[in-house]
Amino acid sequence: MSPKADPRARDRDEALSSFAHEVKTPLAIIAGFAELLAARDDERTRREAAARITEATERLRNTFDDLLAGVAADKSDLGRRLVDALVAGRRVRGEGHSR
Amino acid sequence: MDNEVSILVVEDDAMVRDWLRLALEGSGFRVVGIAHTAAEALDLVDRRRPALLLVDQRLPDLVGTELVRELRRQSVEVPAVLMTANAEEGFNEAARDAGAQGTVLKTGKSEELLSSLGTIAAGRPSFDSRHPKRAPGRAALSPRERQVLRLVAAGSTNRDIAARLSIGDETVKTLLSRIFAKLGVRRRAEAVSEAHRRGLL
Repeated sequence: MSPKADPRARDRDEALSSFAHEVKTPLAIIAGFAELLAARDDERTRREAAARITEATERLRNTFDDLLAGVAADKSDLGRRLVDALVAGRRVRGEGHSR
Repeated sequence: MDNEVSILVVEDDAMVRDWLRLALEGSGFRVVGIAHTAAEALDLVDRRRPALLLVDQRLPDLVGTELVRELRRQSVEVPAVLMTANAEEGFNEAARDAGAQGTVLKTGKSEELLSSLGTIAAGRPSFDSRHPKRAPGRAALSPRERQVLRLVAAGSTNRDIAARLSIGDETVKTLLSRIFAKLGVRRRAEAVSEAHRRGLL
């Protein structure tokens, strides 16, 4: 059975999509305002960018605090699997990206 | 400036709205309205008559593709661009099916956003190629999608469904968006009816 045909894989994809949305939206805000800061030097942009970058950072921090609290409360070896996934992800991305 | 393109932004996240408003300023676009919900957008489109719509896919009351479908049903032909934070498989096809002229990723650079909006304002489509193409044979509903649709058929709200299935509100929205795209419908009742018709429920 291909991963896409596996119902568990689809459920996993849906959960990942929601989590990615939670993380990527504030990241996009931070990157977007930082880009505007680099391109413009007016006071209004500076003030607004500083406020929104701070807010987006706080939102990201809350998301990760929630995630870590969930991992800490989990009785399985979820923490270890997360670290394994991080290492595997870096390996996969490393195959396509050289720095 | 007279030759600026008037644009209506439909986005429920205040931070994203502020970034879009600032990024669009002085770039050939003029934000003539900001709607927080699809219902507000339907009202503002009629009153402000924008030349372009920039619509978030995850709105509190409807998914963006449904909003675009509804506008097309009302014979509103203003070009629409759908925004997502993630690259989603089949999203370009779903956006096209709904009647949108383009897709953009919020995680892209602002120059990419402006370039896409410029292309669409000039009358050409612009779909972000980072959305993977819909794989053949993905039209069938997944077990989780069927669960959601059964609860919709029983009259459950998104919040009820989230609580019942122990999933987040955002996941319910994602699942509904996929169900609608797969079934080619725009309303919950139509989804239930179409799924029954196809023998999927």
